[in-house]
Amino acid sequence: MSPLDSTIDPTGLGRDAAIDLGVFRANVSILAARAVGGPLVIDMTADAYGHGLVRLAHAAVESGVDILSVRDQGDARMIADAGIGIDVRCWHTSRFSIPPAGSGIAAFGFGMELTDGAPAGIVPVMTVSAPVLSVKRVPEGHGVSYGFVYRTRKETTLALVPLGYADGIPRSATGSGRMAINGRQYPIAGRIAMDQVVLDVGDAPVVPGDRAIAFGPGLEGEPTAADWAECSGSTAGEILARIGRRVPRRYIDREVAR
Amino acid sequence: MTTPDIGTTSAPDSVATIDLAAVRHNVARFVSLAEGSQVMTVVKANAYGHGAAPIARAALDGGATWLGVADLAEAFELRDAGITQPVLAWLHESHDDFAAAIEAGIDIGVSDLGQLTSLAHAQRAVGGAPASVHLKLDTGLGRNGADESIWGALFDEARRRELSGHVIVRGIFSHLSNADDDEDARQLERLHVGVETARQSGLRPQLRHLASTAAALRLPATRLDLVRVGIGAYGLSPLDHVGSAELDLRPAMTLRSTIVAVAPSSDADFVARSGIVPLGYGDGVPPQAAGRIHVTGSGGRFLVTRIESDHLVVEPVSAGTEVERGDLVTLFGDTAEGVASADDWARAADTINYEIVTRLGDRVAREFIA
Repeated sequence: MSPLDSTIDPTGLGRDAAIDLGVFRANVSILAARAVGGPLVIDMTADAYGHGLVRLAHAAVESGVDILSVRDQGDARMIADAGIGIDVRCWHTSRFSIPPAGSGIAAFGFGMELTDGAPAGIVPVMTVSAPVLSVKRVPEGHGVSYGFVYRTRKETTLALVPLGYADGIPRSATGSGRMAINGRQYPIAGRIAMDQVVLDVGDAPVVPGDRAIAFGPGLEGEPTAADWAECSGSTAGEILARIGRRVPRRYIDREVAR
Repeated sequence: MTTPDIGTTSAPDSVATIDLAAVRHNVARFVSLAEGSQVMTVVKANAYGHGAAPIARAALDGGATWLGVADLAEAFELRDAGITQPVLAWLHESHDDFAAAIEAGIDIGVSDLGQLTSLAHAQRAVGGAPASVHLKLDTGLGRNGADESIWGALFDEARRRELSGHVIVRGIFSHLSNADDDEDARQLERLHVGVETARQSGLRPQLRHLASTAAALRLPATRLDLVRVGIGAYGLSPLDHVGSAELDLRPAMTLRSTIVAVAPSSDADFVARSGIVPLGYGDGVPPQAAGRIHVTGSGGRFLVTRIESDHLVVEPVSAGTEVERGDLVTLFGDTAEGVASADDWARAADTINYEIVTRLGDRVAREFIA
């Protein structure tokens, strides 16, 4: 297994999806304690919901998962080729079965549906962020982004963040999506574009290089994937699974005290 | 167009077929439309999900003389693929790896003084020819691009850096809001003011550019020296209520998959059974479209009833059509072939065709047809 990555990949404008293996293992432990009497099955479809199948399969084995659920033999082969010995179930095999009902994404930090909360103690595993590239002071009434669906309500500072719908920020969250800088959330100003969003940060002293957090565990003021799901008519699973290829996955392992 | 042989043991169940002839046709259409202007094909975001390097080559074959990307990583990907033609990248961190970009012959879109200074320092370290720059002006969109209040300072500094041999300003550009024709006309006017101010500073930009696909189609005055064509190159329309065919554009991407399993219908009163297709939202298929979109199989159309992480469920819409295991289904492509379009998926999912193709995931194989 390759080592952990303590620093953010500087290519790709510093876009970052930090995946905390310690949090994932702690989540699995909580699920294992609840799965008494039956095997613990973790749904690892959709590249482990965007977290990376092989790295998460390693962590799952370490924390006592019995069975991994994947789509097909290709996924199963990736796990086997990585030398991970675990029971893998494919729903789509030559023996022709149908996919199981969703077993939930609690291991990744979320309940099944918006209305169905995750078990107590479960924490989101993935944090997606990018640096502020530039800031701009603009007057009241300044249109922002395509179609000028947003106009500033007073003199304010606009901060450009290189995360757009190509990176998995859902365009339908235009008008409601938020990102956090230094523990405070700011609204996205105007349409979410392919490569970027603009945050209206008011009079906050935001400077280029400050990190804008799209979502994370939600423990330090940032939105969660469930918040994005709510404001885009989606699910946390979809938000996680659709984080794009330009956002490098970076594996960290923080000590989790519970 | 031949139907690819998918669904067999040796081939993936799901394939996005990319018709490079369609890309050449679409780019050539803009080359002729824009007459004296050059065409830059925008291949950012993995060529809107189509595959950057093959699309870039097809675009150049179709008559494009420039390629446009957002960031340097995307520009390096083109150079690594052996593509040597002009490439412009316009979204940067101020401490980005400009030295490598200069060595790779990438033109840099510069939005502020900090980037200009970093670029000049990088050129001094690298040596050789001056770094090629397109100054990006914010003419109203409020994203990147230099704010009008600093244009004078930016132009003076750029000229100073030209005289010391560090940079050469090849272009000046901006990006339209497409809010309405009046706003776009106002932005064009601001760009002309910016270019005139730059000339007074002694700059001689050869390439003024503003229009992307929508303006290139609709507003001839915005075409200037170069048009930046993204969505149109992929055969999709950026205009509301105007489809690809009306613009003589051919959608380049066709997404197909296979019914790999047949299950009892979710509706007990309905005798038909449902088919399972191994494409889900983890592959980029938007679940918001469920219940509002059809796929096309050999026997007819099927309604998409559910979209899950790694599969979707289809059901016959009329008596007499049955889902069959192994049947190929087309999710979207060219409506001339009787299938749904990316536009149809965009309507069903309350978004735009750009998002439908761009977010198609890496786990779906791309197959290129020359």
